[in-house]
Amino acid sequence: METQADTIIGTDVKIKGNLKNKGPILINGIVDGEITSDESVTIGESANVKGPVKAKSVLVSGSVSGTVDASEKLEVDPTGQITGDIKTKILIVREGATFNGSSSMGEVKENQPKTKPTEEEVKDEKKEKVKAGFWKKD
Amino acid sequence: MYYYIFDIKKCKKRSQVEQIKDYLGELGISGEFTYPTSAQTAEELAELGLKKKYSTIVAVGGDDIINSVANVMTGREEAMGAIPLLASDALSSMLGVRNWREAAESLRFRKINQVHIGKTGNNKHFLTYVTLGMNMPVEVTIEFKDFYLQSYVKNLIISNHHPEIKKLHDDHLDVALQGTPKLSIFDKFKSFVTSPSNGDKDISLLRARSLRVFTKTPAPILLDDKIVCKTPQLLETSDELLKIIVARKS
Repeated sequence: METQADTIIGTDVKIKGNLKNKGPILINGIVDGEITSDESVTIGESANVKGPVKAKSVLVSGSVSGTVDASEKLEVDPTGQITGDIKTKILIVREGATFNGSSSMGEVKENQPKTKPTEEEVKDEKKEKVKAGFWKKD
Repeated sequence: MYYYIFDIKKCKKRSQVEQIKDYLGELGISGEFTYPTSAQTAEELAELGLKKKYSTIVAVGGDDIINSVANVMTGREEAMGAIPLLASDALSSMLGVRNWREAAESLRFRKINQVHIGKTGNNKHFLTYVTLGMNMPVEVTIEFKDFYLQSYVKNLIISNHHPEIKKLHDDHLDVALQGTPKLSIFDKFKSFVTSPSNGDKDISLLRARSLRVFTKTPAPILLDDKIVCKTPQLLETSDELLKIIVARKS
């Protein structure tokens, strides 16, 4: 994960409000509010975040109380604690990490049928294909 | 074409004034030389140079005179030049020069950069950076557009250009601060005995177009170790651009 953050919140710093940045964000202090990045968010070991976190990739080594939405990857280190729902494509939870909440991963593929087609739908589809000359008429 | 505002106090010897003038003559960029006094400040001289229709106003001296001239030149069509003498490393690095000779040569090549510069609430411009003057850590609140920050800080730098801070956005100020925990007497004693090392995790770095700095009691904001204003204070980047002559390689 990218560690060269262009916004850094050091230990002994408290932030209240919404922190938004296009580049990577590194938090070592306390944040009460939303954190959003177009790239990555790293929640350091000493960090305590109360609020949603949204980024392409998120690494949690500290504490987060709030939803975590990582569009690509979410990693939770052994020292990491998440209390809240998570949403991501790739989830890595290391031994010792704490997670309380529900998780959702991936998306339903668009071409995948949601329900089994009915007998009538199958017949109609067959008729269409016969019309188009794919199959010979029975 | 060139109008020089010369702070002769920054010359090591009287002969250096003549040496610089001669070198500018050799480069073919000699012009009118003026000297600020208590009766006529560098800012007033810069205004006068513009009235006289000079296309380039050059400040020769330290950070204070160069920033004073920048105060007048921001938002103007005319270009500003600078020849640093006993100026900060930050200013020399911003201009891309190492000494007055290189600065004089840059004037001849006339590579002009259009830059936003820093500005305080009392309308003082700064090309480099300002710091919060303090002898001991103070509780600071910094208000940004969407959030505010609170910390006990040992050091606070608000920078338009600092040689050690990578500038990401031309129209943003970089805010670098070093926090420290608020310690009780017992904690202070314990930290003295154990000397805890926090690496550089106590450093914060943020960027913004404007911010407000508050402290419990008014604290001085320093530019090159001189007080330019006090907290509470608004700091922002100038809306208007400064046309400044920099080294060819910059």
